[in-house]
Amino acid sequence: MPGVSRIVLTAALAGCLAVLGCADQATAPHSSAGVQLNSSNAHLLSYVLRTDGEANAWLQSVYEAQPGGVALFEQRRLQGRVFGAGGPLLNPSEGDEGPAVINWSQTIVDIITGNTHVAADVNYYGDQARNEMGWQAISLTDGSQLWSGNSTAEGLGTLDGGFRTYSFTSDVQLNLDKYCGFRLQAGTTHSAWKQIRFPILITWGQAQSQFTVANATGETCPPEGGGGGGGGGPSYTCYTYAVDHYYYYPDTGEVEYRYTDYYSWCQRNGEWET
Amino acid sequence: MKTPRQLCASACTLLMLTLVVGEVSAQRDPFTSPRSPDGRVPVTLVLVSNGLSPAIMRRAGAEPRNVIVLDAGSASARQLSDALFGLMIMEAHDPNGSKRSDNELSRFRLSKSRPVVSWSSEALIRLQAATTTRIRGVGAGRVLEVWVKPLPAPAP
Repeated sequence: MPGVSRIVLTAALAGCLAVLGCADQATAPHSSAGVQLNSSNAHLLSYVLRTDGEANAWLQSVYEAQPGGVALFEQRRLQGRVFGAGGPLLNPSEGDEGPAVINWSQTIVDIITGNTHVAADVNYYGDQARNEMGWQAISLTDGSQLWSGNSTAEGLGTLDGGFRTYSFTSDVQLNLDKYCGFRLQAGTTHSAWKQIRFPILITWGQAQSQFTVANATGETCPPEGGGGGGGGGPSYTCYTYAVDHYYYYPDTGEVEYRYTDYYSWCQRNGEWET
Repeated sequence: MKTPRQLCASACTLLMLTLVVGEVSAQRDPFTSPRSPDGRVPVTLVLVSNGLSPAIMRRAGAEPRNVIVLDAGSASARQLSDALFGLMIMEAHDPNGSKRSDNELSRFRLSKSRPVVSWSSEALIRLQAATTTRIRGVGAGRVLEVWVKPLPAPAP
């Protein structure tokens, strides 16, 4: 029974490596970290971290509402993939005891009002993957860094490409006080490894990581309302309107908070006449 | 001395002017429904006693479709103005109504104050004097329907 003997051999090898301290501890799981809200990212009001199916479903819903729709988004995702040094893995010949392999990975950044996000994908042969995302917002006017952040997520992902081959997606939705006047750049370190959880967690297999980057440039902000004088050009009055959405139960009148949308509205030369 | 023919022409002119002015003023009156669609948006104001900040409902199917719920104890002309403005912003961003829902309610915050709608105080007075009506999915409250001009096209 070559299959059973291979598993036994792999477990023995992994156990031996763990006992001897030779296991690839660099790939050992650590707790997923959310975004820290602090003075360096003052424009960040809140965030949502999603992984796997939830992240994919959310990304799809975001792009359904954008020009080009999901088809364009899928096309972009395909084009944006960075393949590993060995190319797509077709036949993992080294077996269970061999290393994990990253087939392709990518980082995605989009500035969409209310749906600005940084996402990362990694397709790998192994048992577990991690995306360590970091991002910076750069001012369009003076090139200074406005705010930054980072987030780490790990998981198995969904089967995608064959035996023991998965895609793991993570996504951070950034809720900001304004969605203009900055360029957003992000990079992700992608990792993958092999592991067994029973009787104790043992990880092994050389974790292969790659660093992928992405950029998105936002729109310039409309001029702030009314001021300036002289010049005779149009004057603007701009408002930001935050809307808290609640699920509403008509039968009981109870409400449950769901999410917050931000709208901006600029009025040129005068006010809204009702 | 005017001839009977001249008198008749003057009377007709006066009558036509009266009708036109009446029509125009009726169309501009936010408390009067238009005789024919004029682009204004019907908004139902509901005054209840819930002690909460104003809420906006953009309902998908249930009538009335645009509802602003105000608290009798704290409703002000500014609150009503901001709620109307917010509803019109949401309407401008979602003209096809794809974000409408019968199970959603919104509260709002404006980044800075804006001028109060000129007729909002009168709307509150009329609302306080209105009869109590039960609205499906909202409950019982004093109800007033107003007609609001949508926001103009956004600045580029």
